Amino acid sequence: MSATSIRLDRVTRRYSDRAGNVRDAVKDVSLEVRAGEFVCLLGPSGCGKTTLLNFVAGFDRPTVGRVLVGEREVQGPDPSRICMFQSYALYPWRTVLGNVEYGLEIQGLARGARRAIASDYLRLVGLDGYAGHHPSQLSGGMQQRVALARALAVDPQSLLMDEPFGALDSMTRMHLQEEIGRIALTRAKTILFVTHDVEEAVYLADRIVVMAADPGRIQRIVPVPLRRPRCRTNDGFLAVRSEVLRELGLVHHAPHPSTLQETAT
Amino acid sequence: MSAPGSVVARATAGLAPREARGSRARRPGAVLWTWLRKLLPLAGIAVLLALWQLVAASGIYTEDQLPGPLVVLRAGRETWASGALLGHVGASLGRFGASYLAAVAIAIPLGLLFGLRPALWRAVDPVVQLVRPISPVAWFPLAVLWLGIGNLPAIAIIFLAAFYPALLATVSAVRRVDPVYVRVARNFGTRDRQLVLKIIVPAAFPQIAMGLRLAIGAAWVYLVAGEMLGARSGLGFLIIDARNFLRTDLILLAMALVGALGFVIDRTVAWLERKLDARWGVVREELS
Repeated sequence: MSATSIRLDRVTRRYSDRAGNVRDAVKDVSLEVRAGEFVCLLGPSGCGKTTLLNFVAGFDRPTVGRVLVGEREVQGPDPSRICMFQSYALYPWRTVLGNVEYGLEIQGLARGARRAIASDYLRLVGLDGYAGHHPSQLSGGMQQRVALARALAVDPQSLLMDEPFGALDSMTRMHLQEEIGRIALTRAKTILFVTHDVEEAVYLADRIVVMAADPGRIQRIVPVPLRRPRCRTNDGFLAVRSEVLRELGLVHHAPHPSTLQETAT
Repeated sequence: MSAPGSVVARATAGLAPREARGSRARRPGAVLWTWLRKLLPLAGIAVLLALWQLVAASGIYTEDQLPGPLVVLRAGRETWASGALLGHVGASLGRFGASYLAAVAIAIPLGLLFGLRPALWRAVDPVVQLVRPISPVAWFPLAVLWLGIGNLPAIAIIFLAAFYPALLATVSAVRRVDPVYVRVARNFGTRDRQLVLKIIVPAAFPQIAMGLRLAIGAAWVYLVAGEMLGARSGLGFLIIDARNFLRTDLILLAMALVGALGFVIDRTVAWLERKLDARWGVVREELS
């Protein structure tokens, strides 16, 4: 399936908390993601990143506003938009291959056909030797790679990733970022990626949507004009990184020597 | 996706799955201790038998009041030789198996239904909580009144004892299924019927299995009591019958058999559970 565009049209999600106060998880947010584009939603917790992702996934609906994928309004979850979670959400009672087969099984593919497709995607993520294992026998990074194979196996138009690498150690995380970066290079999927890791966003995104909390809103959209595959240490990368950090209010003026001394004592 | 996963593949090539890691070298003393540890349960039983023999031989009670283990063993050989013992054991196991399976066969589908329909469970829960604390023994008079004497009241009592733990375990297992499993399933387009069969049941299974094991233990305890309600066979009947003839050796024999069979049943179920857990990919924290 070819990638489609995603459009959030002035969406607001209102809810009342336990004390009965009405709050907006996100307020009046509009965003357009082009077909095949990689967009990161970046911001502090409580800024509504996941809320926006859930709108697109169809797990939640905006109180006000519309969510369009291609020309059609999102009515609910659909295999053309596959979500990935920080907790991998693999089925522990199924083997690795059985997990990757799941979506194809639901679509009614014959056993042989789905086994062949699932094996291909397992090979793609480098886990073809683990087809018969159970998820609990794999490391976190391997489990998330199984989840990626499971998502890709149904050939979705878009991938919706909710801090997918948040639970992984930094080395594993970088390897998986390279993997996702390679998929982004093909422009075959529209990818919406929630993260609170600035470097991850700069490494992966075509555009970074910096969000702010209370109420959740878009603060600024930072374009990342870097060629793929990206290098984490060159000047262009570091420049974008500083720009995003500044936007988040995490870069201040260079510390004055006297303040340095103060903190040292 | 031109160079499929090469970097990742290389990164994990040296990583064995978890099961393959972490075998420690053991000292000879530790090996001896592991073997001794395995024998400890047997030592406990040996001490119990020795104490029994000691008290029986002490003369505090007459042999009619408290026969020793050897006397009971002899009684066992005699009843075994006459074929009566096997008949009683068979009757008990048959009765128990039938009513336990009936309880489970009704409790699990009901539990699934109640677990999946919170509103329904809100209505049913108080009823269950009200009826459940009533011991199966309290049902004896009514069981006899409604079902007569013989097989049926025994089956009903065991049924009651097994039903509630199985039902409650199933309801709670279904309610505890990780919502993210359902989310993923819906995302891939899973419809209601498939959701129950492919996601809810397997996800809830390990906890249901644990409940079934509790239920089997609870129900076994009431087997003897149930068989005292006019059954003409079984270990419970054997105890009543032996009491009428003041055969304390047969009473103790029947009691020992109830204990031993209960133990064997529990171990068998635990073994089955472990087998299925492995198939299910469940990792349980072992208490050592």
